[in-house]
Amino acid sequence: MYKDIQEPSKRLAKEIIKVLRYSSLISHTIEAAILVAFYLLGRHFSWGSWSVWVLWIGIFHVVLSAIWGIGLRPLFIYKNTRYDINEDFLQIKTGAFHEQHELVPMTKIQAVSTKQGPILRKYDLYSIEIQTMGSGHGIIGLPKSIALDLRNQIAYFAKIREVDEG
Amino acid sequence: MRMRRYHPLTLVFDLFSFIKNVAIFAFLLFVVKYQSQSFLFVWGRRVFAGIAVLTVVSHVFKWLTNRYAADETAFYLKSGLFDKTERTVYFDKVQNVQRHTSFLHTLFHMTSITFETGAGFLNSNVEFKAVTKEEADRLETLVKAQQVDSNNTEEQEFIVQEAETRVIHFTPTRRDLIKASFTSFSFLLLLAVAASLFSKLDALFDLEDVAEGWVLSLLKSGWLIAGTTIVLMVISVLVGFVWTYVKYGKYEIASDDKRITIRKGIVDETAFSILKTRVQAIEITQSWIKRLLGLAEVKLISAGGLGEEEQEISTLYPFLPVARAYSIIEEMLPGYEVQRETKRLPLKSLFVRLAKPYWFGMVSTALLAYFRPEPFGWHSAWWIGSIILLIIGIISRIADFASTQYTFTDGFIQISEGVLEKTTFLSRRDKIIEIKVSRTKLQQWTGLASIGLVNRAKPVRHEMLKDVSLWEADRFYSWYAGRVAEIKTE
Repeated sequence: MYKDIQEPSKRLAKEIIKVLRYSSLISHTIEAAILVAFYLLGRHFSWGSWSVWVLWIGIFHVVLSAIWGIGLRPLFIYKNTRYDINEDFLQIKTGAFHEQHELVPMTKIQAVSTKQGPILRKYDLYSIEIQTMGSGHGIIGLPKSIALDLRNQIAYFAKIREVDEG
Repeated sequence: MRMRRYHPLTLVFDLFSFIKNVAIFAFLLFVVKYQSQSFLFVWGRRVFAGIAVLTVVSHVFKWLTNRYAADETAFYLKSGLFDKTERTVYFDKVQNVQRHTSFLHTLFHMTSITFETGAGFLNSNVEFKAVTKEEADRLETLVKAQQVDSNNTEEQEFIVQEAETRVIHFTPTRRDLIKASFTSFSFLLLLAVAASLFSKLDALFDLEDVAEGWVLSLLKSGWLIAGTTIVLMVISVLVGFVWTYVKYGKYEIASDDKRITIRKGIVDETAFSILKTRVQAIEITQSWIKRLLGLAEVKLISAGGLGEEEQEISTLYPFLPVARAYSIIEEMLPGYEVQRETKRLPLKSLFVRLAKPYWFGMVSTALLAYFRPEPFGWHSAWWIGSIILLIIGIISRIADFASTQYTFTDGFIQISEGVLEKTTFLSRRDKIIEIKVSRTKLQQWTGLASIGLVNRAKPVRHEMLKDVSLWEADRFYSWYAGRVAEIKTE
């Protein structure tokens, strides 16, 4: 009775692991720099024991989040993200600990765009952002040719409007 | 095309709403604190006068520059003196139409009309604050004609027939109104008004001492107490009934082939009309007292805005008898059918819910253990309190589990949740704009999943049903994928 729908199978570009690692590395370097600044200021103005506590909590936080953000998260994201489109639907599957399957009809997509930051550019990757009537969805890190193709394809399928939509 | 100015009375209504908004402020500045020579009030008065003059001038300029026109397909709106804006709003983007005739409007034989569009940003609707009834009728007819036209070119003759096929589904009887006045607790209205009046007057005149003496003398006589209580009760019930009558008395739910119309109000008249195909979802809510009395509130969800809080009128009569509510939905909206036979969550979902940490209980136990309060010198109060909290937590989770029901059949989904206040959400598959199935680690271990759906509304409506079985979640996913078969594309 129901039309069976295939699980999405397409993966992100493998370079996305490096991209995520670099961007996480950069943000953690900034955080570490702030901690160093805090330490130096604290020593210079002799802020006393509370600043030592704050510093330790800060270090603890940065180290843990660095292990997660630089070490593990990029692998998890690469391993667990799948997407696919056909003429009717966009499907995105993400997450290992909190697995999510999203199913978005093409007719409800209002805008699609490709984006590229400096790190993505280094690996010639693009991100795709999809705007629907209700929310936004993203696929991070696809090789240039695939990303541009996908964008054009979605734009083509999304052009069709349902009756009664307004 | 000739662009018209808005009706000159628009100015009057703009000014009136300005006065209404600042009246209290003005009263404070110019009457209560008139004698005050303090910096705050002296400058307050000057700034206020300045703002008032500017507002009046800006309203006059707005009226002078704003123009509108309408042809068979769209509204054309022009505004702005220096920064000119032109806007075209096509009729087929109009999600619903609201008409509001306040008492002031009635005096001038005017009305106000708003055409709501589904666009996401602010001010995307077309609003006429004061128009003559004829002009409002003309505009609404234009919109209706286009909407019917765009939906089905062959059915154009229906525009003529519309009036004939109109069915009135519900108008409240006196019995309905009495029930409504009790359900809405409007008989407490008098008390609330009296209390707030008293506290305000008290601040001015030190009423409390006077009242205290009066109340004391009353208390001395048992008969007087009984008498006044009864009189007060009768008055408050009457006041409550009149209030309910004024608010819900002239209610009318009607529909024809294409659209649903809701009218209400005696002094302030409001009318709401929406194309049946533009109803995105339906929500039925029952507060605990409504459940006791077998009443329900049915709300139509539209992609357009629904006006300000007090005038919101997408609600079918808020105190409908449940069975009638269900049958009205089925009569008005073909394709909708309130399912009596619904599914419950699997039993393991109850265990998962019970096994989740009781954060509230844990935090309050920690606080209790730390402070060890001893009410009435009772030493073991803290751990007994903590156990009671835990039991309440468990019971509420069981009740929550037991009251959750859902079903999805061919083109239709229904989700009910809530223990004290029960909410039932109904939507059609073709009106759902996206879905998701998600599973936390705990759900992955136990073979459960959460399903979520999104509907157009303002703001966008997210519904979530937690802890259904994985099998059902899969079925939901392919159920939604099956919408392809039933939607029509242009």
